[in-house]
Amino acid sequence: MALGESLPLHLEILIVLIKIAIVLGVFLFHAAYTVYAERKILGRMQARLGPREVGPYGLLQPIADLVKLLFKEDIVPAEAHKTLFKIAPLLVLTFAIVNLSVIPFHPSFIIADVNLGVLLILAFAGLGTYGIILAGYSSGSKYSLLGGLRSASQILSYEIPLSLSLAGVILYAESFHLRDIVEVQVNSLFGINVFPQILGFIVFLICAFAETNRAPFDLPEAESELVAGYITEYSGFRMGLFFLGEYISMYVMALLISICYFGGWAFPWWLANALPFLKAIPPTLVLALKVYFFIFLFIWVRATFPRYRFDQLMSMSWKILIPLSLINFLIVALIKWLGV
Amino acid sequence: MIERAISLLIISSLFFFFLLLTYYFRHFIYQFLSILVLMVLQGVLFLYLNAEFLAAVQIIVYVGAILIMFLFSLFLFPEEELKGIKTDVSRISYKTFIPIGLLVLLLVISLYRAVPENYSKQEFLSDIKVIGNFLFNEYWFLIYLLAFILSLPMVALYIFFRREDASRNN
Amino acid sequence: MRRNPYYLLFRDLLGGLLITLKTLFRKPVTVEYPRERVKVYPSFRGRHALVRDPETGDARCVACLKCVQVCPSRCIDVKYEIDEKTGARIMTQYNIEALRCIYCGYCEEVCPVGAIVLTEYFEYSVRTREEAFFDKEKLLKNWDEFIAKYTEKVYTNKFWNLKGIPDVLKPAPKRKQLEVPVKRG
Repeated sequence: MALGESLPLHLEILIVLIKIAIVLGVFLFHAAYTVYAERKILGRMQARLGPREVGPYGLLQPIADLVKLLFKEDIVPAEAHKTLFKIAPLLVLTFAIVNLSVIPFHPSFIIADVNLGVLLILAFAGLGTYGIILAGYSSGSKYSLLGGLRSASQILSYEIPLSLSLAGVILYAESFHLRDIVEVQVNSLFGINVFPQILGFIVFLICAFAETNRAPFDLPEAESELVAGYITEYSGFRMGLFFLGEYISMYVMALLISICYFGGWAFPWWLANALPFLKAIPPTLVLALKVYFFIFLFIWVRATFPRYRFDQLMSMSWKILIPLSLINFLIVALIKWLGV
Repeated sequence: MIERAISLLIISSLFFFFLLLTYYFRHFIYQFLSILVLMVLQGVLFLYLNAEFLAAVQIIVYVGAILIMFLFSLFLFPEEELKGIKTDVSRISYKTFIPIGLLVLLLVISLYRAVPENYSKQEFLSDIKVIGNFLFNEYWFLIYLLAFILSLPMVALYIFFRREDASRNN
Repeated sequence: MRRNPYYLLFRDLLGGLLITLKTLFRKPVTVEYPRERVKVYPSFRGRHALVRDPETGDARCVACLKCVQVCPSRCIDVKYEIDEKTGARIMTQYNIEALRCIYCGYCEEVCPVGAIVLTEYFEYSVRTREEAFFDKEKLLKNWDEFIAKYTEKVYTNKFWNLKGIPDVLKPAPKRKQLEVPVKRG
C-alpha cells in the first residue's frame, strides 16, 4: 500500500491485523455456508430436498453442525502418535489459510504485497500435503495410512501440471504478482487468458479438483474402499478442521482460476467497451461472482461424475495433463514471440 | 542492522535446536520430520538473504516433492524397524565435541583476525551475506579444495560398490 | 484401442453435467414424513392382529397350526387344548415375536378361516423387546385399534383368498369370500 509508507509501525501492524480479521471472518463464514450450499445443491441435483429443518430453509444448519462438532468426544486412538495426530489437522488448515494472504481481493486490498504470489501459493500447497500424509501415518490404522499415501502421491503428481499451466500465465504476464497478472491480461488482445490458453485452463481446472481432493478425484477419502481415508480416526473438531481446510483450499483454487484465467475483478476491455455500465459494479463483487460460479462448478461436478480408478488418475496426470500443459506453454511462448 | 543480527541469531538457534532434535528422537519418522523443519528453515534463511525466488523453489522442490518421496519409502517399513533407532544425546560422548570445538574455534579466530580492512567488523558478525562475500572472495581456493577432498569418499564408495557388483556377476 | 475422434469434444461429460443441471430445477421427490404421509394401500403388511369375531367376541383361530408350520422365521407359537366332548381344538395361547417376523404374509395366506392378519397399521415403534412380543390379548387389542379407524363396513384381506388358485385346492371356508363385518361401538 502506498499509504502505508508514511504510517508509523504500530499503525501499520494494526491495519494488517484488521485486514487479516476481515479476510478470516469472510472466509470462515463462506466455508461454513459452502457446506450448506453443497448439501442443498447436491440434494436438489439428486431430486432430494437437502437440509431444511434447522431455521428457515435450514439456514442455521452450519451453526448446528459446528455446535455438534464442538461437543463431540475428542478421541485419540491408542495406537496413534499423539503429537503428530494433534498437529496434522492444524497443518492442513494453516497452509490452506495462509494462501489467502497473497491473493488480491480488490486492486488495493491484499494482506501481504509480495512479488512471488503464485510461487508462494504453490509452496504452501506442497507444505499442506504434510498435514494429510502425517494424519494418515499418525492415526495408526491401515486405512488412514493408505489414504495418506494416496493423497500425497496424487497431490505430488498433480502439482507438476498445475505449476506448468500456471507457468503459461506467468510467462504471459511476465510477473509472479497476481495483481500484475490481472492487469496485463485485461489490457491484452484477448481480454481474458482463457481464449489463448484454453488448454492451460482445462489442465488447471482438472488439477484444481485433484489438489483439493474433491470428486471425481476424491480417492484419499474414497468411502467404498478406505472408510474415510486419512480422516478415518479423527472425530469431533479435529475432523471439522480437515473439512474447513478442504473448503478453504477450494476457495483458494476458485480464486486462482478466476484471477489467472478470467480477469479477476475486471471485465475484459471489449466487454467493458461494449457495455460501459459494467464499470459501475464494485470490483470485489465481480471477483466474488466468478468465484461463486467455480464453487458451484466444484459441487456440480461432484454431483455428476463417478470416482476415477487410481491408475487412471496417475496416468491421466503424467500422460495427458503434463504434455498438454507443455503444449500450452509453447503456445504462450509463440504468442509472446509474435508480439500479439 | 540489529534486527538482522537478532533474526539471524533466532534462525541459527532454531537450526541447532532441530539439529539436536534429530539426535534426540528415537523414532525414524520424528527424526525425519526434524530434518524437514531444517529444510524449511533453509528456505527462511534464503528469505533472510532476500533470495525470495530461491526460498520458494527450495520449499516447492525439496520440501514439497523430494522429502515426501523419502517419507513415502519410510512409511513402507514396518513400525518395529522404525522405532529402535538408538541415537541419544546422552550416548554421544562429550569428548567428540572437543576436537570439533577446537577446530571451529581456530577457524573463527583465524577468520576474525584475517578480516581485511574494507569489511567492517560489526557487519561481519551479524550479516551472513558479508561472510559469504568474504569467504568467496578471499578463500575460494580453500573451499574448492575442501569440496574436492570431500568428494573423494563419494568416488571411493562408488568404486567400492561397483567392484562388489562386478564380483557378484562373476 | 482407437477412439472416435469426436471423443475429444467430451460430449458424454457435458451431457452428464446437463442431466444434473436439469434435475436441479426439478421438483424433489422427497416426502417429508411426519408432516405429509404416503397413502397406504390395501393389503400392506403391517402390524399383526388376530381377527375378533363379532359374533363370539373371541379369536377365530381353530388351532390348526398351519401358520406355525409355514412361518419361515418360526416366530409364531400356538398352544391349544382339546375339548374332550367334541374333540375340537381350542386355542389357548397365540404368541408372535414381531422382531423376528419378516412380514412375508404366509400365515395370512395359509390360514383356512382368516384368523391372523397383517393390518395396514405401520407406526408401532417400541422401546423394549417385550413390547414387540405379541400374545393373544395384545393381538386382539391390535385388531380393535386397527378396526376403530377403519372406515368401510366390511373388512377383507387380499392374502386371505388369493386369486388364481382353483377352488378344489382351497379349504372349505375359503371357497367363498372371507369377510369380517366391522362393528363399531
